[in-house]
Amino acid sequence: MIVIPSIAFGGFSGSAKDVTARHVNGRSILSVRSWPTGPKTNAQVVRRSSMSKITKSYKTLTAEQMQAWENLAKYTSGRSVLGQRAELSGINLFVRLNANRVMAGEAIIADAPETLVNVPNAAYNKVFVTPELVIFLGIEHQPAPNKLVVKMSGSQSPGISNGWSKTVIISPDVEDDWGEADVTQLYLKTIGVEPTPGQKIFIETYWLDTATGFTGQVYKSSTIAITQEQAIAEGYAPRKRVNMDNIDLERSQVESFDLDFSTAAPVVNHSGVLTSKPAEGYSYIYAEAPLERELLGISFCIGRGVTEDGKLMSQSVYCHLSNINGEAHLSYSHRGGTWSRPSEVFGPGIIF
Amino acid sequence: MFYSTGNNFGAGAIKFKEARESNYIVLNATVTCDSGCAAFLGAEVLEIYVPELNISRSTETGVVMFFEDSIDSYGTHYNLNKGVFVKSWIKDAHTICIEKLPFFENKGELTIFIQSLYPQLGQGSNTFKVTKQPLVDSSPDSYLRFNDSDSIIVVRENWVFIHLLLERCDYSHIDDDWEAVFENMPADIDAVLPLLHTASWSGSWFTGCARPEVRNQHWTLPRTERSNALQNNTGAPFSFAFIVRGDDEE
Repeated sequence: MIVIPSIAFGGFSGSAKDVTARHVNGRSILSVRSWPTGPKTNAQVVRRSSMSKITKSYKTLTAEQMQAWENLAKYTSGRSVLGQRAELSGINLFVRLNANRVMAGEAIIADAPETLVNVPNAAYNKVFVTPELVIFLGIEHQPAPNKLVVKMSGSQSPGISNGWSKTVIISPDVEDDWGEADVTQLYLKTIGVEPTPGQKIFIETYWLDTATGFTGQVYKSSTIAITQEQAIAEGYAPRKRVNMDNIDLERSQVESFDLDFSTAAPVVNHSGVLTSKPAEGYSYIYAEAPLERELLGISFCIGRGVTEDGKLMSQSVYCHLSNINGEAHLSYSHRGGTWSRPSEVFGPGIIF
Repeated sequence: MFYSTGNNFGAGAIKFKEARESNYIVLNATVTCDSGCAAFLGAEVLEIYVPELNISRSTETGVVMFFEDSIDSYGTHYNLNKGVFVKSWIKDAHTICIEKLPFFENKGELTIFIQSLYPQLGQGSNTFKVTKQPLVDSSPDSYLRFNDSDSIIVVRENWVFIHLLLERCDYSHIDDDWEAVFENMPADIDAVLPLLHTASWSGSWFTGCARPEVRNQHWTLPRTERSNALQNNTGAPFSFAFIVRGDDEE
């Protein structure tokens, strides 16, 4: 796109072949029609289709709704172009915000947000990229409706210093799990090949307020992909937990389960719904791998059981963490209060 | 120690005792409120607003929600006090949330005992184990039996964890005020320690709950505070609490 002083082409507008001239807010703009380069991905096709749909839907708004978008647009600056601050029109803002919402799986909104939204900037402590793992750590959590948009490139030469134009959206709606976001599967699905150790990966992240479509500042970074061994040597330690992903579901007496050790405190965090046979005063959970020695022991936690006639009863529960025949055995046994199953256990449990 | 700055369910100012650690916090408070007031009825989640905490969110932990209940039948007064664990969590550095169960609406004055540790996850390293000590009645004429292996205390510099499991009372003391002495309990522990137990009466939707006090190593539970269910040595009465040590200065 070419921006030129209005003196030369003031009042001139229209298209000729691949060149379009238009007059916007005192500026004349000449633009050359651009064509998408490179192969179309499914995501690109979907996004272009949704943009078209969003643009068309603007025409269905009432005059009041359009005016509301125009009013909000007056306070919203677009990206600066050649040093001149471009102003957005109502339809521009409508399309931008709704494109963001649609990208995050939300519906198109007809009414303009009442006010501008100050979306926080993305921040995290570390990202590890290996052929087996792509994970962000220490993400500064933002509550809903904020979701993290992650854009990443494929493996690039480490000599490239500016490769953010090669990033594509890995996910538009990442929700961190206590500061962690494991996007390994999303990366492989989008990029198609594993990161190559020694190559550079470019990254862009920003928060998206999915309620309004406003976004925060884009945080650009890059990292060199390393091997899994190097990641561990650099301090990566998988968060220790026993949950539905790594227990024997056939034998374990649970409806849901998540025991998380990553508290750095003298408690483990219990969360689950335990089941057992009516006459049994315990529930067993069998994990696929043994627990580290320092995690074996006894913990107490609280529980709530529902009796057959629907009464909600409080319990205390004794949890024994042990390894037997190469797998971890967790037993939850009733201690205080009323015994009933199913029982929900939750909260921190001291461990000794 | 600090005071709340507000709440959304009609309670007054709430005094908190606290033990702040690097990545978790232990909080103690006793909150009373009218379960029939408009603010309580209108709240979906009970929120307590506080000065800035050292953590900005936590996992779910448990607090005890209690209310008094009784019935008079054929000239006898029956204590039917009830309590149940409800969930609590830190939503942000200024807001403590408590789960609200619809059952508690219009039940008169509610008391919420916050005696909880609020942890975080993903803290960069795993849990670490601590040392426990037994909690047994050390008075010479002991008539209360606490389970030897399951009644424990973990003593930390700024807080303790207590799991107390009462097994029985000698029949000769069944109508007395109960008292026990716990030598392993630090003398600076001063708290009401809710004792939850099976409710044997019909029509109860929650566990029974009594309110023994512990002060200067003495645990006391008056006869009038106990229900018949607790009186008859049934219902596996237990306490589960994280108690802040000291922190009494205004």
